[in-house]
Amino acid sequence: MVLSEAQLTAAPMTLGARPEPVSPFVLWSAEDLLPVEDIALAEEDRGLFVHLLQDPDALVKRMLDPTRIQSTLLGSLLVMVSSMSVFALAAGSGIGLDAPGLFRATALLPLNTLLAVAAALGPAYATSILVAARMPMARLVTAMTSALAAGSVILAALSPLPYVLLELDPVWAGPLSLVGSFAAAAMLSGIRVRRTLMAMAVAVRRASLDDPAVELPDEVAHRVGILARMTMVVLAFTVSLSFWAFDALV
Amino acid sequence: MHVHTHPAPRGLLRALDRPAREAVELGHRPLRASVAYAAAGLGLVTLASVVAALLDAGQPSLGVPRLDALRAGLESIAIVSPALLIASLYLGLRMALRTIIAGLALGLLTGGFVAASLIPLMAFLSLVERTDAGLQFAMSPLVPTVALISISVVVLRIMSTLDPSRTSMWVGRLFVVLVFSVFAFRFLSHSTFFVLP
Repeated sequence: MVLSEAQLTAAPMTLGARPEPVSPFVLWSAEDLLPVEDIALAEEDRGLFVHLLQDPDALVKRMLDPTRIQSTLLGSLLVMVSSMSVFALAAGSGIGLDAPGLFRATALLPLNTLLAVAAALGPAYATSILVAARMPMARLVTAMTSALAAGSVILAALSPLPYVLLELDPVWAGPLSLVGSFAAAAMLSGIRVRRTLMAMAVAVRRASLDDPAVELPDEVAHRVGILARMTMVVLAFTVSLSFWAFDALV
Repeated sequence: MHVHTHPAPRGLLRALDRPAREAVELGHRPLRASVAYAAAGLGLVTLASVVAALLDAGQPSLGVPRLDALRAGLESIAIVSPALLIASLYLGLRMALRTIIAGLALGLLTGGFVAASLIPLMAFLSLVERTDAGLQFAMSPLVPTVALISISVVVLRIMSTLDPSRTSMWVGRLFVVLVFSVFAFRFLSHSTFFVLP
């Protein structure tokens, strides 16, 4: 089929998408000349990795489902360990570590983070009891791990910066990019902890009252906010100490 | 006037001609299809690089480490591609994870085709080098450079077609800048990250 100019210009435009530039020397079908748009997957068909990065509310749904919480925790741990390893590999080779040093870094950096999460769990749980916002341990572990996993993925995405800058300027720009990457990942993890705890509190309250529109009263939101901030502080403390003391990237 | 038009291509040429649509379709097929495309592309780039290295072997005075450029190119793709995937997901670009993976695989395939198409030119330049004209060409760095340019072009084309938003454009530009920065720094520093024979 050959399309006329009028047919080509009348091709329906999907919002955002546009026709792909194709060779004008080849006969294309009408379908080939239409705008191209990716077909979005349904929420439940997206994997944990996508939920970790894009959709904290979907992550909360997973945590509230007793049949999915275990797989969410294990998946978050796997994502965290692999992302940290990728970052350690990139930053380590940027620093100029030899093969044994790289192996040590890729093993030690995720281990440090896991150790820090384990150390931060107790204080976070105690805080939740003190502010009358006790979280079941399984949900607290999963919320903290998933937030750290999201931060670790961002850390892995930032790895090209220290990889290049450590080569370019190992005295100033390289170390600063390394610290900056950790700071950005920590900030994202902190935001994610708060968002997850708030979303979980809202979801549980809605389920309790059987009202899908109910919001958290200010006083309850305040207590959840304290818990979120304390969790962030304790996690930041243990993760920083862990990286500082065990010298994974040296 | 009647013009005899060439029919629309099938198979791999069709994938190279319309990468955005192919990336969407490939994204809905099993992951091994994308891996196969990427492997074919990598194989072609490696083949062209090895040919370039063999042709450069007769010109040791150039002082170009023969497979360092290929190593730096592979490193840059391996380091920057995960960053592209994560950034696209985190910023909510209108592309599924599998579509971006398929797009990168198609970029590698296109890079392989373009690199392989340089082999006749490199053979010709090698002949010219052997004449009395006194000319020398460093062909080893050429192949991975051209392959990286092709990968960047295809990825940008797919991103601009599927999501022409400003965010998507900036992510695409950042991808290109990072790919070439990592390539340049690793090539110039003669890294020992990957040890190729």
